[in-house]
Amino acid sequence: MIIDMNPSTGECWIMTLDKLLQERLPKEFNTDGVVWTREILCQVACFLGNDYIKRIPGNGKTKVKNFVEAISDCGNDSEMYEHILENVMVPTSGSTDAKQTWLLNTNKTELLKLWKCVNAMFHHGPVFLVQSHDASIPVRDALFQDTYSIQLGSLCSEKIYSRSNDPCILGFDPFVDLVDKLDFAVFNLKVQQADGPTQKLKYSDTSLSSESSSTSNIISYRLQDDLNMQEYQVQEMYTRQHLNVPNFGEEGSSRVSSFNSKTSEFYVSSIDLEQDSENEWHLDVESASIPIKIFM
Amino acid sequence: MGVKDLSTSCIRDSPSAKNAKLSDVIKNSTCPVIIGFDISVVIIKLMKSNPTIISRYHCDPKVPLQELMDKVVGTIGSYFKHGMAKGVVVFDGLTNKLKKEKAHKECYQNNANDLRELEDLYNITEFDSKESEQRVMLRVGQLRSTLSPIRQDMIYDIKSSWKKYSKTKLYALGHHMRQIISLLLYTDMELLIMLSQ
Repeated sequence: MIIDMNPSTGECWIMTLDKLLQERLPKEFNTDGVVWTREILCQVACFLGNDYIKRIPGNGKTKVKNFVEAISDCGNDSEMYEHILENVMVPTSGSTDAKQTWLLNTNKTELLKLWKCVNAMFHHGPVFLVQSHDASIPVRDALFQDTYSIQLGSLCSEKIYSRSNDPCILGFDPFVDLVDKLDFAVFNLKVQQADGPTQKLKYSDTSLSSESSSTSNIISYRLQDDLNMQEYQVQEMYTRQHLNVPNFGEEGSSRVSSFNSKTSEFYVSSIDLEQDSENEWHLDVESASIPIKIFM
Repeated sequence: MGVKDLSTSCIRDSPSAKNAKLSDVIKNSTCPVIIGFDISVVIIKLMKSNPTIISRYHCDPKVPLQELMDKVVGTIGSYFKHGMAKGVVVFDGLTNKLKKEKAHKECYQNNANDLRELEDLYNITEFDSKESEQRVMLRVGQLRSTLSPIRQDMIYDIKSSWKKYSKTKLYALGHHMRQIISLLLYTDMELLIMLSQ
């Protein structure tokens, strides 16, 4: 990044992402021994509050060191989010009344969902992508040769959705989206069986696979029911109408809203993109049911 | 990202510190250097540096902001003078759902309040004293500088001014649908879109 160049002398300030992560941030926050990554930076951006999520009272700059060290020690994302839920989402500044008010007005589970959603935005936000006409020619060269096109897609996705072919798709790869949701679901996925109690299913990330065609994406994974020693093979089909943005619904139903044991179908929520006019759309969450086949 | 504590102090030693020469950076680069400009930042910075531009911006009916455009193209042009191969002017603004519900909501709420206050100040016809007049003028100035978003006509003006300034092709990247359409309809600018949030 080049900042503030003096037009006459050409002197400027340059900061690269590598230098920021390797030198600047460790020094700024005094975090010796912690390897800063883009992921940690995104978590710190949520910790300090940003355009999407407000700062939790008391979580200022001086507490970044402890936060970064704590999340670096977490073995996986679930542990990290558990730590955030238990230890970070606690107001530590202001009067006792103010803290109480914050706790009363804040649904911590909702706040955690928002936190994860913000992270998803940092990684998979909808963007327009410049593409070379010839895949063997780098984008940079294509720019100079005027042989490029622009398409709409996800920041992290290699899949590109053409705006002209399908105006409904606005970023986010369904596959990545599902990984995010299932990651969240590790400690929140509950399934209400038709005739039985609510139970928890464990998602097995090693079983995740996906197939994509021009019209749909099929995602497969396994769910384990430790209580009944059963394992379900789940196959989901997303068509392009099932817009793939992070969808964090009600607590306990963020992914699977119901399970019909007679028909062996899960029902999940989806998000649809609605077109307002020729060039403008808006996103609305709605509980459409998408049947998922279960192979037992 | 809009994280206040991750701004200047994290990126720069001091607000005016310099650590490199652009020409050296470009000389040492293994490929032609393309630089993207967050044009909103450039425009707002230049606008705020000059009260006359702010006053002209708030004229009713709208008047062209040629002085501002000259400064904008001059700023971009100086990068070419130091060896930049291609300049990409970036407009952002494809507001996602999260941003609409959070930052934009707060921002537009503030803007609405400030606009109301500005209207009230415009309606004052008599002042109690010279001091109160000065206070009001100062406040009007403050409010105007915070209520000066990028106008669509500016995009066209940048393009026309650039054409007069240089034959070098300047690319425009946009996020905002309206801005993109405006570019397509009113200019023959090359249109690229930027990877940023």
